[in-house]
Amino acid sequence: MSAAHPAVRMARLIRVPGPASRAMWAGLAFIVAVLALSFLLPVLTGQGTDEFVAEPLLPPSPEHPFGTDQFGRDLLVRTMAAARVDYLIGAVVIVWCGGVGSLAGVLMATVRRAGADWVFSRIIDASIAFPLTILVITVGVILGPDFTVLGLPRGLPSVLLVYALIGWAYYARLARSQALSLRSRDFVQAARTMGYSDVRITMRHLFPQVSMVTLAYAVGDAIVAIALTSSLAFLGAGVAPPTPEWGQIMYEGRDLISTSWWIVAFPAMMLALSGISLAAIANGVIKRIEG
Amino acid sequence: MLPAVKRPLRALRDVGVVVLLVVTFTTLLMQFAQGSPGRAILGPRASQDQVDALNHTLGADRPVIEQIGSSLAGYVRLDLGHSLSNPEQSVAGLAAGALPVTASIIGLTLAISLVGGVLAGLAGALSRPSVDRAVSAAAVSILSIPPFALALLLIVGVAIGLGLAPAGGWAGSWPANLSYAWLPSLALSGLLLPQIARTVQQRARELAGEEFIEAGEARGLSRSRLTFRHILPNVLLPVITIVGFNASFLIAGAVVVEAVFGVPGFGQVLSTAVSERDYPVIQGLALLTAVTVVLINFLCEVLYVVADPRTRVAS
Repeated sequence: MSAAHPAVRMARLIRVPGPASRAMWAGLAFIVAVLALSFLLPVLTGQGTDEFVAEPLLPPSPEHPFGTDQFGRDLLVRTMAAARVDYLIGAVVIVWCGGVGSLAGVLMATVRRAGADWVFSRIIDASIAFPLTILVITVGVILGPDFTVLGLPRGLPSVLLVYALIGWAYYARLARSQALSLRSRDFVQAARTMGYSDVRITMRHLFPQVSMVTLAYAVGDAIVAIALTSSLAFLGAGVAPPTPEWGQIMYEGRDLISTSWWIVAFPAMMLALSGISLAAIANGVIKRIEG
Repeated sequence: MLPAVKRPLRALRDVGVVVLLVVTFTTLLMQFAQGSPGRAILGPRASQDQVDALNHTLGADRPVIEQIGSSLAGYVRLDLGHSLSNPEQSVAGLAAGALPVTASIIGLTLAISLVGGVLAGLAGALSRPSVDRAVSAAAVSILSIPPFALALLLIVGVAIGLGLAPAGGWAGSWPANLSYAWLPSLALSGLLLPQIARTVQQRARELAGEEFIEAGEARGLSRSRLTFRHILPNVLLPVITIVGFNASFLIAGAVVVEAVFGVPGFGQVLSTAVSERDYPVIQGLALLTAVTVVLINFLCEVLYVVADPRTRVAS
């Protein structure tokens, strides 16, 4: 098909205007701050994420900056605590999907037998054909509503399982094309002339280069996985209440949106700001790698 | 054989293999329940007899190879099994009922995104830098809002606030459906339109500096002729790639946006099935949507060959 891989182009599309490095550090600061608040806020305020702390449906005020929901829970605490679950999903996509995908893609580009490459390419085609939300729901029903593992909130295991099993395929494609274009570059040719083995060239020379770029793109895509997970709440699936998760909070507030706008507005704002921050980080890293 | 024939033929063979793999994956999904999906679906309070009966209905008590074989045999006859909550209702029938609704939402989304995205992109690339920056900034902002959140915003702003459209529902007949369909489609366009706009913008900016455009200018061609006859066709190629790449995200987005607006498409079938833990319906939809994505990708590949004369000569 066309020259640049679609995922490459996707990440370039979300390029944030302005100086790349300043935007990158601002984005990183935002993510770290939200993550810190997600753990600190319930402790500092002494309000649990599922606790009746004030009158229901209070608009934003100095005591409750994000207001309260219909159960009288503080929405600042809940919205921030939701980052634990939502950023965990993002982290799995970046570390696991980006890492495994890079490895698979580099191996595909290195194997000598064309048949193996073809078989792997078809497996990737089939994997990424499934709309992820529908696949998560399918696995969720099969695992049952009460299934949980490693102390994760109910509903989260099926999300993580599907992303772990399927998500790498998106990056394997990207890494494969990256590795193929790197193979003809001088430093790989030089390593080959030195008599290094294929395994060594793959693992020591190709993989570090390819995985850095792939991981950077995975950072930019993490928000897609988070948004897909949030949207599951609207289909009656996803992370089960009362665990705070942005989509779940928005779903609980959807019928009250014209009177109590703050229930939906703040999680939506957090999703958008997280997305912009992750895009800025990805963009900054890619610019640094590409020089 | 001519490359123009050979390439689609090879792609068609690949499509066959991918569909086969999709069927295998879908059947293997049941293995997550460690042999007893019936227990997982019915819960711990159900009797063993009920669980065994459901496992038998689902075919989960047979060897995996046999399950894949019989699923395949069924799919060839367009038999996707029957709903658990209403055994009279076939999954294929449910899907066929919802398909026109979802297809029209996605079709309208494609139309809005293509027209809006191409125009916005061209406008950005070919006018003053301030317009260029405004288009980029708008695209980035809209892309960072997921479709279901955009749907909620549109319900508050456009449906409730301005009263320009119903806040949800479906008329059931055309063209009356259009007043119900345009707002969900607009929400879903938030996913595709900015990507198309940015792609067109970047490509058009690159093209504006190319020699054949300068040659056209030198021949005294008008601005609109240059834009629509010379730049536009070249810009459409990456747009085809973008649409193909987003096929599965569009379907996933449509399902959720439909659920938000209460439109009786795949979204409603799916959320009903989730609340009733109706596994065959969910599995059938997963399979159907995945096969649709494979076919859309194939279609985009063919379109790409048709639209780009170079791929017909080369490879």
